[in-house]
Formats: sequence, C-alpha cells, structure tokens
Amino acid sequence: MKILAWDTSTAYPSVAVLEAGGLLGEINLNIGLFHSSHLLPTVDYLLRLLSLAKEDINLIAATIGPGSFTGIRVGLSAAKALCFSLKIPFAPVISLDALGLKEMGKTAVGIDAKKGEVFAAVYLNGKRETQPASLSVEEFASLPVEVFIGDGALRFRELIKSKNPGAKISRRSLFSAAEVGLLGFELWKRDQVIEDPRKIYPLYLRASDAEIKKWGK
Amino acid sequence: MLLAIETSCDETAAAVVHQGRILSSVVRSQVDLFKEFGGIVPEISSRRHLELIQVIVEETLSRAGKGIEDMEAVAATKKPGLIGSLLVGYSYAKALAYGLGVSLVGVDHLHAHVYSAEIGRKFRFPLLGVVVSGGHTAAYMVEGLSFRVVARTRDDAAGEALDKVAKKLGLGYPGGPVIERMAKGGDPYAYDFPVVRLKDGSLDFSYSGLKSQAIRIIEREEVKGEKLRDFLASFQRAVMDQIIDRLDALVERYKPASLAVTGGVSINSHLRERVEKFSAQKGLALYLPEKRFCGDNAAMIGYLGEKLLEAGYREDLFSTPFPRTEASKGVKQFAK
Ligand SMILES: Nc1ncnc2c1ncn2[C@@H]1O[C@H](COP(=O)(O)OP(=O)(O)OP(=O)(O)O)[C@@H](O)[C@H]1O
Repeated sequence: MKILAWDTSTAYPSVAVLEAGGLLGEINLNIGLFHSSHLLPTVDYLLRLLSLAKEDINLIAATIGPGSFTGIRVGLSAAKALCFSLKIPFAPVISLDALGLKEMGKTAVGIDAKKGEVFAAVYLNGKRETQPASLSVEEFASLPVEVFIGDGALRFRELIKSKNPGAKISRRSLFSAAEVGLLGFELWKRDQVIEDPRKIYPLYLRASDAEIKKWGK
Repeated sequence: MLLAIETSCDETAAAVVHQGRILSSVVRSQVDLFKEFGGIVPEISSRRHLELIQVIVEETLSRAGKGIEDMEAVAATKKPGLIGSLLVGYSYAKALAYGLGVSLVGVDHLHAHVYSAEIGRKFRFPLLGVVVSGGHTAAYMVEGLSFRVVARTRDDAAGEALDKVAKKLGLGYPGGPVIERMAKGGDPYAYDFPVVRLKDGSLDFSYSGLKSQAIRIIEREEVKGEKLRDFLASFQRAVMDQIIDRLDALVERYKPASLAVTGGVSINSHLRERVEKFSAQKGLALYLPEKRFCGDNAAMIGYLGEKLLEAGYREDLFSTPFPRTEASKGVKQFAK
C-alpha cells in the first residue's frame, strides 16, 4: 500500500511517499508558489530516489484547500489526471488538518487568506473541533487556544501576542506532505476515498472577488 | 492518436485527433456564467475549468470511442491566455502524459487558430495567417511550423471592440454574434467610421480609437431602433474595414501565396464575404476554418500538436504555461 501525497495549498510545496502509515521519503522546497513547474519533477525525483515506478502507487492523497486558489487547482488538476491514468483512488485532505495533526493541546491552525482574512480551524490534540472557516485576522488572533500554527500565525504573530498573551506560536515545519499522506491513509482505511476523478472537488471557503462585490459574502 | 486540451480562456475543451483527423471535439463554453458580469471573471473561469476538465475529457474519449490508454500523446495549450485557466488544463495534461508514460506537447493557442483553417486541407506556403478574436488580433507569416509575427493589435482586439460596444449598448456578452444578428439589413455607411492607420507607419492593428468613437456616439445620441441597426452595421463594417486595410498592406509587403483568416470573429459572415472578395482580387488561395473551429476549441490544438510532435517538439516535466506571446496586444518585444 503505497501513497503519493502532496500539499500545494501554500507557499511550502511538499511531496511525500508513504508505505501505509510509514514515511518513505519527503521533499520540501522553500521556493514559494511554484507548484505548476515543480510538482511533477519533485514527484518523479522522489519516486526515483525510492526506486519506485509510478505504477507502484496505490493512492494519491493531496490537499484540497483551503489556501492558495491557484495552488489548489494545480494540485487537483494533476491529481485528477494521475488518478485517471493510473486508475487509483484519491484521498482528499484539508490543508489545515495536516498542519494541526501533530500539535498537542488546543491549537489554532491558520493559513493566510490575504485581504485581512485567515483560513482557520481549531484542534484538540490533532483532532479538528471546528469547521474550517475564513476568519478576520482579529477573530483568528483572538481564538481561545494555547498554540497557533500556520503561515497565518507567522504573519500575524504580533497581533496574536497582543490579543492572546499566553499563547505560543508553534515552531513546527509548515511542510506537510507526510501528514497529508497519513490522513489519506486514514481515509483509505475508512473507505472514504474518491474512486471517480470527476468527483475530486476543491475547498475554497471564499467566493471570487467579483462575486463578493456583486452579491456580498 | 492524441488527446488535446484547451483551457486558455472561457471554454473548457478536449479533442481526440489521429493523423490530422478530428475523431471528436467537445467544447463547453462558460459564456453563461459571465453574462451577469459583462465579461470574463478569471477566478470564476479557473474554478469552472477544474470542475469540468475531467468530465469533458471523458466525454471526448467516449465520443471518439477510445479509452485513455489508446492515447499516444497529450497536447495542451501552453500560451497565451488567462494564467489561472491555462494552469488547470496544462497541469492536467502534464500529469496525464506523465501517468500514461507518453509525450506532452505544448501548443501556442494562436498558432493553433491559424492551423484550424488547414484541418481537412493542405496549406500553400508562404501563408499570411491572421487571428481575429476577442483576446487577439494578429497576423503571421507562416512557413510550415515557423511563425513570424507581422502585426498585432496595439490595444483592443477586434472581438473585444465588438464586445465592449455591445456591452455599452446593453446588448449582452459576447457582443460579436449579437452585433452580427442585429446589424442585418442596416446601412453600413450610415455612420462613417474612418480607417485608422498608426502614425509610425506600422501595420499593427488598433481598435481603441474606433471603440471610443462608437462609445462617444452612444453617449451623445439615442441609438435605437432603425438607427441602432444602421449604427451596428456601420460599426461592424468599420471593424472589418481595418482588417481588410491591413491585409492589403501586408500582402503587398510580404507577398504570401495564400491567406488564412481565423479566430472567433472569423465566423462572421460579413468578414467572410469581404476576405473572399479580397483574396479573389489578389489571386490568393484562401483558407477559412469550418465554423465549429473558429471559436476556441481543442481540435486545433490537437491538429497542430500532432505536427509539432512529428517535428520532434516535446515538453519536459518542468514546463509551465505562460500568459503572453509575441503576438499579444501591445507587446513590442518578447523575451522567451
Ligand atoms: N458572429 C460573430 N461576429 C463577430 N464576432 C464574433 C461572432 N461570434 C463570436 N465573435 C467574437 O469572437 C470572440 C471570441 O473569440 P474566440 O472564441 O476565438 O476566443 P477568445 O477567447 O476571445 O480569444 P483567443 O482565441 O484569442 O483566446 C468574441 O469577441 C466574440 O464577440
């Protein structure tokens, strides 16, 4: 049972291969949003390093959002095509869940959503307790938690400190493909994977600016 | 046999092409989504492409009676276009080729428009290839697979001018087809829009002056009823006048053996009649695309894609789409 996993929802591109729940390898690139050019070369290189053929992969797990709209689409377009051509299922993973997975205690995960908002959810010992939502920066910084993680936490560090003096900013890495793979494996065990690539959907959490302007939120 | 994918603008399209023959071609237009906005919204368009890409690919394969494993290569539009839209089709195509273990070929959307006129025929070279659409108005001298831009628009594209004037009149989007329909029977010389030539002597196109002139008239007088028909007939005539004017000068300068007029606006019967007359006068062979290949489609991407593959073109895993080309509007120099 081999899983190819990736996260393209943030500026922390990350690709991993797992054997069931165990990590075989992970490549992280601190290059920003270069998913379109770098996702497949990274996949290809990692498979070669592990002496695997793409036909050895049994499942693709990838983040469906929230995060960079373009990043998500690049990742999911590739996922659809790979699942279709290799005839394997897809495990949809929420980007926030992967980042929150390994934090202990009460944690807020936040991905910078730009325009004064943060895509966020609250976790207890790695388990999500709230629906992912697009919060104002103030709402996010005021969440009653012990730990903040994500590029939203880094970006709004000062505001968090002022609203939430007791809380810590996690120092954990923001590259999350290994966690995406783990969560994908859980979905596979629970038979919650997607067999039909037409049914792989993104999770944007926010309408386009044009729609917001026209109809409000 | 290859699968072609086109998502450069607001059409999600796929086609199966084999040795120059189009086995199937599916185009799903997003036009309805944008009627309320009076034009394309890139983010909405990108979202729609992602929803549709797999659906359209499967529909295209089943219409051709083929399976995905029958595909020996994948072709996709690489440039130019809306980058968010291009990224969906190109990322899909790149991963598909990788998954199948076949070659990927990246296709220039405008070159493909030119070649849409060759489907089922054989070009005679040197060819003056013209693309007239909503995003572009450009001319190339073409010799096989080599394209040299000889004119492009400095500002608006011809279709864009039609779209913007229609929008100003509240006639909806896209404007080209509405204007053609409503201009029928109107007097094309009721309003005299003069042909604009650029002061620097270049043969580039320019439609912003004509568009502004039309909009000023709309703001000044009430253009309605009979008058509207005359106004639209005159405006349409003027848009096409400029094309014929430039073709005339380009033919003088570059002495092509033949002429192809392509792109979304080339479906317009007024334009078709005029280029037919023009090429007959000049003794040029004329190629006009079949109507179903005028607007954006993937058949033309696959058709040119096959030729590029035969000539040895391939994309590597790092390749990524690009929003502009040397024929994009306003581009003077293009760094590869
Ligand atoms: N009957 C018609 N007469 C005139 N113009 C038309 C007609 N039908 C469509 N058009 C115009 O064609 C344009 C659409 O062209 P097309 O489908 O080739 O794609 P595009 O997305 O505008 O541009 P590009 O091909 O450069 O990416 C629109 O501007 C539209 O108004």
